[in-house]
Amino acid sequence: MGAGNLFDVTTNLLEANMDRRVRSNNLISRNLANVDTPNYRGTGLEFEKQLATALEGGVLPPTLARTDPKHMPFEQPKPFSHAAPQYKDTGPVHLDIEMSRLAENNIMFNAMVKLLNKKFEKLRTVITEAGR
Amino acid sequence: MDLITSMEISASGLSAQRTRLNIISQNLANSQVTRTAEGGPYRRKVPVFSAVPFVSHLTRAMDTPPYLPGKDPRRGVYVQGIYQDNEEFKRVYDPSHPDADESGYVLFPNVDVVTEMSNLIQASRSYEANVTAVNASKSMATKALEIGR
Amino acid sequence: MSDPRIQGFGPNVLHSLSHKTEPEENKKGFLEHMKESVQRVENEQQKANQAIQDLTTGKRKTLHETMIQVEKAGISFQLLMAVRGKLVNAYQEVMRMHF
Repeated sequence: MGAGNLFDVTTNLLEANMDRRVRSNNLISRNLANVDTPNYRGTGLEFEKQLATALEGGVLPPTLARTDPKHMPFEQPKPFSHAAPQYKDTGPVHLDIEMSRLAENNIMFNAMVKLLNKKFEKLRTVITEAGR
Repeated sequence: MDLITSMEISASGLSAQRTRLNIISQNLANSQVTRTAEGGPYRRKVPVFSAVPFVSHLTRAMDTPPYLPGKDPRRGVYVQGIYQDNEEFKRVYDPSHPDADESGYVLFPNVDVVTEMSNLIQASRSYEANVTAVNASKSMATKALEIGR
Repeated sequence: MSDPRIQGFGPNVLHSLSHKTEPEENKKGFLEHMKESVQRVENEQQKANQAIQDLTTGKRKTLHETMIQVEKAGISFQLLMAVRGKLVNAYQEVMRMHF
């Protein structure tokens, strides 16, 4: 019993995905700002594979381990969100490709928000009903 | 990293493209100027863009103000400078022109209208792309505000 | 597990009802669990407040993180309130009994 197990793996995944997508948005914006910069190569973020690996129980590159026993014992370490971002070189920027990346990222982020909301809503409903 | 930063980055792109558009307009406006204050025809100007370096090992704490000493507060792209195009001036044979030299040739600016126009279109497209990026960031931020309700 | 019909109600019964597979050394009292949960909820609230503070002072501008943190704290709190409600009901139920 207790608040610790309220939020499951899927919720953490949604959070981590959202975090990654904000980062991606940053990188894509930078790529678009530099579309006419000579010799510029785009930067991208590889995260979907990373999250899949995490889900299967694999080890992500440097995670924030709870090394200090004095740390709050009730604080849940988040294995996904704190993993180091994997940046990749995406080559010279092609405007159309970058624009479609931007759109996809935007749509997926919005989808994550919606899904997260559904999860939270379900939790609240369950709590309300169980409390009767 | 956050969505506000994304917008700052896009803003730098908008700013850079606008500078470029201004330069292009200047080139076009002066494309027939054979006599400038410095003497000689107008020389084409070219803006040079440079990317603000992206340091991948920065943690989130370093991405927000107050910036650590030495950290560049600029974002995205910046105009490194506006250079003169050292391409040769155009020589046109026109002895009746007041600026014709002894052999009857006039030196015209090294501005090619067609090139300038295609650059203008490209700059416009890039500008639009950055506007779309701002809108995407705004859409995500607005959606994030809906979390919980 | 003890049979309530034979042993009657008491803190030990409640204690044994709330555990299933925990080894003897790790058994914590019901009160311990409650305290832990309250502490957890308190931490969530703290994190949420911190997130809000960071957002308002511009220290952290990650909107989605703040929103999620606040929502999580809210749900945790709601759960705690529901549990409290149940506990109060159970207590009142017990008090209504005549021995």
